[in-house]
Amino acid sequence: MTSNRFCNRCAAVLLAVLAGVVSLASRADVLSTLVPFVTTLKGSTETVSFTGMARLDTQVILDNVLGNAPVMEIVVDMSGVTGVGAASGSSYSISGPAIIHRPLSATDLIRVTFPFYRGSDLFGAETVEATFNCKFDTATGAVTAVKLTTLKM
Amino acid sequence: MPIFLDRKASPNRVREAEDARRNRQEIIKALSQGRVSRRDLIKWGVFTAGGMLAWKHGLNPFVSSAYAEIPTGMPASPMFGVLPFTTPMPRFDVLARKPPGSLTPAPTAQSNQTQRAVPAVLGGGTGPIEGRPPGPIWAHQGFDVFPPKVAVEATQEGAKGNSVYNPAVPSSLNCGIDPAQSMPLKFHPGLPTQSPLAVWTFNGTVPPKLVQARYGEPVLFRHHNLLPEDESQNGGFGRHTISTHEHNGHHGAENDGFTGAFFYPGQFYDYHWPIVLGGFRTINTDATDPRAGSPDGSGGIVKVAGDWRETMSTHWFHDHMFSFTSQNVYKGNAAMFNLYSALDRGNEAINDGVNLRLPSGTANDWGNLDYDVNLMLADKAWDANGQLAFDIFDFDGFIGDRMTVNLTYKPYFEVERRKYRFRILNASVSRFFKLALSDGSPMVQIANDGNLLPHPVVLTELDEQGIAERYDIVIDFSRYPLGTRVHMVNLAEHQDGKRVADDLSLAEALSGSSADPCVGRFLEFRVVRNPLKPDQSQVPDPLIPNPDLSAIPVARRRTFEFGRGAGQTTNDAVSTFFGPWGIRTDNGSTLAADFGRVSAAPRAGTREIWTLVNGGGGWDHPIHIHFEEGQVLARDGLASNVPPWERGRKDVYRLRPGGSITITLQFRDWGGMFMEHCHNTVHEDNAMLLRWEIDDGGAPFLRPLPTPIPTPRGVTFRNADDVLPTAL
Repeated sequence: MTSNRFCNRCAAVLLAVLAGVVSLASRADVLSTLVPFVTTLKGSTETVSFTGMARLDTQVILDNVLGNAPVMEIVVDMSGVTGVGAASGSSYSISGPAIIHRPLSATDLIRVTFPFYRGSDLFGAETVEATFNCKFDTATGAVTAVKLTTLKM
Repeated sequence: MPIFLDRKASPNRVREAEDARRNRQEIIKALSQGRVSRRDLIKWGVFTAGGMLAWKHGLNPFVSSAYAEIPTGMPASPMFGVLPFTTPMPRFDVLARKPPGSLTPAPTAQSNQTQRAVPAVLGGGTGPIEGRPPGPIWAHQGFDVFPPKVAVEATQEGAKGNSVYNPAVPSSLNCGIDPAQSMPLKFHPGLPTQSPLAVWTFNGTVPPKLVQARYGEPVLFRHHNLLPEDESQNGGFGRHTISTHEHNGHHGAENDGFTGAFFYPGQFYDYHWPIVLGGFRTINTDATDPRAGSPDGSGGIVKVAGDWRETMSTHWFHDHMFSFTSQNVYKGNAAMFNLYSALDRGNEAINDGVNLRLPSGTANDWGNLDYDVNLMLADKAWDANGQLAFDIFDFDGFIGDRMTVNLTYKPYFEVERRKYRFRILNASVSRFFKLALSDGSPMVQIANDGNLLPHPVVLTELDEQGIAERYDIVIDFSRYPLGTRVHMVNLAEHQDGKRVADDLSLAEALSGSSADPCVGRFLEFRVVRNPLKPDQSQVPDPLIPNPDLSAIPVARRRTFEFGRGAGQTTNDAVSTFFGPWGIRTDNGSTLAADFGRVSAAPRAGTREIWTLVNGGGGWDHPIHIHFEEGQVLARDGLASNVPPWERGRKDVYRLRPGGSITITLQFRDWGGMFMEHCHNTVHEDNAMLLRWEIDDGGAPFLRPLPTPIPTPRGVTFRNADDVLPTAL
């Protein structure tokens, strides 16, 4: 969504309020950002190399009724990332997504943890923390810049 | 922004807030005793029409302060020197299972209208001993086909010591707690004993209660109301009339705890829970599928009719008193209910090709609790004397400042190095949780609400958990060395009762920097020993697949929008209520609750698709639909938005701020009047609740059931005072 479209939406909301309509659209469009995810993590049994794209879906949610500050719904989806064990050659998955609500701000550190595991060994899962250092367009919720770092926990 | 006054607040500020709290408690007390109505409060200028606390000195503690933006403004609950993780978490107290023949009087299909003297404070005269509405409409459906095999009896009464605690596990699996020692009703040994007027629990005691039952084993739950006859004797909040909802039982409506079918002190109510699989009238009617079954007590299976994919596992039951649910549940009217089946039998060793062998134990054929642990999470607050306190200001929700697990303040729990199942219930009034382990270790979610998922999901941070949602998870403590202490952590920060303000990262939540006292560590697991017996449990994949409904035609689509600014079309003094919240059905008007109004009437035997819409972005609503499990088809219109842990069956649907959720439900097996409401119970009470009923005859017109109007001298009936044109 462009900022112009967003302004048009705001204008429509305002008109609706003035017209006394109770129910108002409060969610902006979902905006997706793909973030290259390339990292090597030292697991307890072997080193695992991950490649793929993490997806950040961001959405501004307005409070059109009480006028409270907007929030951002952020869905961090790692389904586009896969890993390979250096010793075993086995495939690794990262489970998710993470769904979080944060106050809307121009910059935010989105720190989320995810389990990664080999095959279907759910109880052998280990944890990676992904930190997305994001800048947002606060009018639209679009990610304008992002830097990803990872840490094996 | 702090929810509660800072610990460093000046003595004057604290005194001012205490004065304001006392004044507010007077109003809550008057409201809870029916001496004033919300309409009165608005007329007097105490509340704004929007349901907000008016800006009055001595009432709102922040009128004269710089903290005008603070929504709750209670003084912090005093801790009397108590520190976190210094007392063990007690396991639930398992209610005795008795032969139905032991009940006096014997249970009856229709309500027992034997007369008794009604106390003068309730108006005198005589009234029935059972509070269930009389006559055939409120008779137990299927009482002859599913006669009770087990009776469970409990009272609702004021706080007292527990000298008959039954954790159903050895002391070694209950942190060394000696059940023979009387347990006073305290949130921690170092906190004051709760007075009989402050806390009203099942049997008047802690720990919270647990019922265990099997499919094919109908239960008669006799609930005695032993609360004070004088409604003014409520410690400042809580209503002495109750209606007990078995959440989310697949039972006839007369056993559902309908909000208007409440009963009075001195009465009992017999709830008949037949414990049947959904679809028992049409699917597997000859009971030949062993997956549709129940433990037989000796390692085998008793087959039952119905769809095995409708098997449920984790329920709870709680009060549903019209307009007073939040106060009564908060005051202690909440318990849990584990259902056992051939699939989920609570024995991890029996290898019959059906049993999923989830973590539980092996000593008993079914229902082992050794490694299957119920956790009831609830935020509470108490006053300067340490007595439980409640504040309805404002109508957006109530947030406590002290975390309890199983009604114990921040306890510890000893575990062995093996897998445990935890059945986690959010029993708060308005608070959402988001759970993680303090070291970020993975957990495996196996169930959502009452139902095992189609596939287990491994997670390091659970999704937000709304009020009344249940998440069953498995934690494998074998990953930890002996002596490890790891904590369960809440990541969801609240600033008020409307919604989660901020989902913190694990590091943020552990930092102690949040102004929300319920963020951070709240339960300490202590890894104390290697397993006494080998861990034979499994978490297989798949667990329980969803029933395939695609071949069943969709009879209707309905839309329910949950928002503010509700109007009222009726004014019955008993069945209507006033509040800022309401529900807009099928693009009609947004209406405040009236349990005499029928808002929807699905035909028996059909399937429908319902879309639940959040009418605003400033709040969240966990919506509960009684009686029928739903499958989530879409979030915000897209199936791909449904996360893996919501792809099973559910009974509570978090809308998310400004969001929507589309579900499909079948309506079958039983009939009567049910409810749909927000389970932020402050929203529910003010007045985000509607009645729907299953139309029984397939006629081209709706025949609404008469509305029960309880009195101490018996229940009368009125015709439904409103039926929405879109109901049928």
